[in-house]
Amino acid sequence: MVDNVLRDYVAARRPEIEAVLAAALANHGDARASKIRDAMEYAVMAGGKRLRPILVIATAEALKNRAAGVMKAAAAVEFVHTCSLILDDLPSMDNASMRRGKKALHLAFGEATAILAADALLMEAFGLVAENCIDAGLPAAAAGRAVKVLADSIGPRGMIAGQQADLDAVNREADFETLEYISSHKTGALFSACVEVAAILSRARDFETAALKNYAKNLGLAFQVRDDILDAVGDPGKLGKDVRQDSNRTTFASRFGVEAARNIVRDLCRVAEESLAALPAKSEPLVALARYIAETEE
Amino acid sequence: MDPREDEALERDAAVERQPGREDEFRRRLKTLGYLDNPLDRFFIGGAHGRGGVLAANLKIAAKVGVLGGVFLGVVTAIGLELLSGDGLGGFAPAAKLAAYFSIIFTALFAALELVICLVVTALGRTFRRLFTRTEMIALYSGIFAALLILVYGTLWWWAGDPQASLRSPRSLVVFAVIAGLAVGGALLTRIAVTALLALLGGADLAARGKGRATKLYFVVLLLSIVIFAGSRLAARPAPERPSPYDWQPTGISVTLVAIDGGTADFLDRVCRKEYGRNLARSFLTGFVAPLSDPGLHVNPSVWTTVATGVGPDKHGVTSYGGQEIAGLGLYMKDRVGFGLYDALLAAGLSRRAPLERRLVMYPAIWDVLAGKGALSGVVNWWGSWPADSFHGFLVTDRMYPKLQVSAATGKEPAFEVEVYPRSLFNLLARYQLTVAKMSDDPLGATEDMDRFAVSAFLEGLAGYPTLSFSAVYLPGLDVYENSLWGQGAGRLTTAKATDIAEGAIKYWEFLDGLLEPVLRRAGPSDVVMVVSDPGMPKDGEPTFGSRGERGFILVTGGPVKAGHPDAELRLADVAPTILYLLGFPRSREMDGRAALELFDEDYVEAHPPREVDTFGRLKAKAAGKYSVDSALVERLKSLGYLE
Repeated sequence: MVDNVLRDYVAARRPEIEAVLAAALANHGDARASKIRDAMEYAVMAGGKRLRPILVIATAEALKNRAAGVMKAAAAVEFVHTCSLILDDLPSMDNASMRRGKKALHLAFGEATAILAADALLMEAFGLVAENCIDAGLPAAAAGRAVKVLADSIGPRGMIAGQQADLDAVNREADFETLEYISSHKTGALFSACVEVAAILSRARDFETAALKNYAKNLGLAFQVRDDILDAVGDPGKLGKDVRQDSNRTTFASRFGVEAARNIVRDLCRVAEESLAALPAKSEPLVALARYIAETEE
Repeated sequence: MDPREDEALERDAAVERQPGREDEFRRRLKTLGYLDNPLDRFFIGGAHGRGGVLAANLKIAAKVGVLGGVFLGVVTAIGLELLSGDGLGGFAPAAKLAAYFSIIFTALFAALELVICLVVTALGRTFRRLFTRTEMIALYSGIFAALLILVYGTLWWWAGDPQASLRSPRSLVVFAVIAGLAVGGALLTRIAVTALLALLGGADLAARGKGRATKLYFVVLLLSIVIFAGSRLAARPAPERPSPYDWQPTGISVTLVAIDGGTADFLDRVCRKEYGRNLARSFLTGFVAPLSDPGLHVNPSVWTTVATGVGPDKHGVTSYGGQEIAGLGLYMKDRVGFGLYDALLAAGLSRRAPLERRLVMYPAIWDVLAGKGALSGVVNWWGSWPADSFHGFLVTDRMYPKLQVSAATGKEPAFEVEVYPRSLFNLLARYQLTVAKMSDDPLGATEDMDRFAVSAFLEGLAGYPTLSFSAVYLPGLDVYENSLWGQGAGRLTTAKATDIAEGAIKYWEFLDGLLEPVLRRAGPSDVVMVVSDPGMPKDGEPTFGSRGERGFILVTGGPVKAGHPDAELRLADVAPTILYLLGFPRSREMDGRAALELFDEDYVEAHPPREVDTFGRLKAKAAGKYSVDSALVERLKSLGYLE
């Protein structure tokens, strides 16, 4: 049931998302940029659930905004996410060989091009958010805030800080606070940015933004814990990526056990769902997303 | 298998076997702000603004108070204006009333909302599950409020007027007002609850300021005003002009003596035993018939029907008085307003005020006469104040209490339109009273009242020898009997009934002597009409003394023939009969008829009765510049004018 709601919603929104992503990646006939564009396209268009763009759109709709009003921001967060995946897969990091059922980008295009593609996607992301703010006629302060929210979620207060902490935790026992720090920065920060940027673009009230951030915070951690569970017990065929990558580091699943982690994921998703009570109307997709993460392991 | 995987699986299995790990996981997450019930965070807890929970609650209470107060103030004023006929006297007083009630309701709503906020805040901490979704809570609260108002309003209407026809215009107005209040109440509640929950979650009311509910609020408010104005314009045309007709003077003058109390049986008994020689003589030589109107019980309503020939549905007088809103100079009829008036009284925001002339919506005999330049003299009639203008002389029902207050305080009575003309006031202001208190000397106090009325009547008549019509109202008999019974205190014993019966006869004899100059003064062609209201006992009250089912009408002089027919006359027949005698037509709007059976056939043949469509309507006048002081109100109350 929940699955259907989310599947239907994703199916309905996906063509628009893919179209915006494709448009943002278009080469426009510049031959010298074709390789980097191809690499970007290879990474972005390889598939994926488009969870973050969906989060942006569903948030906007929960706030009575139109999907079209946040579509570029939705593409931007997918670019940021893809950038993080490219970097994550590099030999100097996770050294993964597969991503979204295909060769990792650095194996397909070379490590240098992969790094450049990651950087390019990041820059494109900021450009898209800025464009979205202009399109929405947002005041300069609000537009600046949207860009800052995204920057914070990526930089030394966000994903990158989380990634560094993650690297530092390899082959050593990480304490609980460090695990949370890694999770909340590596995954949670971008989840939170998704809802916050959508909220800014939808001109949400403070309490609505706060409620959504609480949703994203709990959902982000749930997502990360679930990722840990999948890495421990998942099927690489179904997941489309390598598993047992975390055997040399501490995860929530390894620290507290898979069953405990599963229960915690459910609790986190329930709390995330309850946070939505503060919104003006019930948001089926956001609820379905939380329930999907709570219940599905694929 | 990768040796690292084996190692991981072994480690996981070991972890799974450790008890309490999940609890620890959960606890540690909570310390970092996860698994935090958002209802704590967003509705009850931390994100409630800079000033804390109390400041947030005060803010929402003030805002909801203003929104609710303005809405219900306007709707209440509209409802009262519609329900009280022309009692408010136009748009300006209605607007004043709307502003007044808006202020009252704002204070009330703000206080209530604050209590609700604090209760919700306290409850919310314990019963977090009560608050699951703002829109849902707000919507259900609104529906609940609407149902509550509908049920209350309908029950109120049902209790107040169980006989009312559901399809009557008045019922439709009431239902429209109740429905309006229900819709308004629902919207307000929805706004209030949404705003309350939002505020507790750190937002302010502006979060919903542009919301649909708020827009709907203003739309409903505006619609209420527009519908009100439209219905007023449609339903209330300018007062009708009187139909054209000629006055055909008959040369007869009519004197109407109104005695409160006294049944047809009582009259028969006392007159046949010749208690009171003057009235007994009239009884034997005049026309006597029972007089009744089972639908009328309330004194002012009864006597206004006598004076106008129409029932309360047309003359509009249904109760002893109304209420005066302190400081506004607004006067409103009693017993309308969803229990609001009782609340206002209890809160000291208004006070009971006696009936006023402007609340009588249909022309009385003296108004009809004035239209053709005929003079009248009226003393002590219900709802005759203020005497700011009159075609003839008028001593209102407030003159006697004023003299009592003056005698009690030793202060010279100041003229406040109790009497017209002023010269008569000056004459009556010197009138000596015994100032007997009802509790000390019921007989003396009551006699004083009627003695003054008749004296004032004679003084007026002396100054106006060419009056066509004169009337005096004498409440003494009824007041005295009530004082003997003790206003329903205790059971009516045989001894008490005997006392009252003897007291009634004693007072009748006093009245007879008092009326002697009035009866003697009438020339052979003049008609004297003595009319009584039986003082219809209320349910459960015993019949005693002169009280009973039917009053009487006793008519002598002029073309009146002697006779004691079985047939009854109705209270509403009195005015058309008097108008006929004076040469005026009857209005087809009148509920009564000219009782031609009273008169010689020759006279009736020479003076065929005429009819016109209407005598027009009295236009409601705005509140006068005179108000009733508290001492006078107390005095009026003690004399039974307010209950």
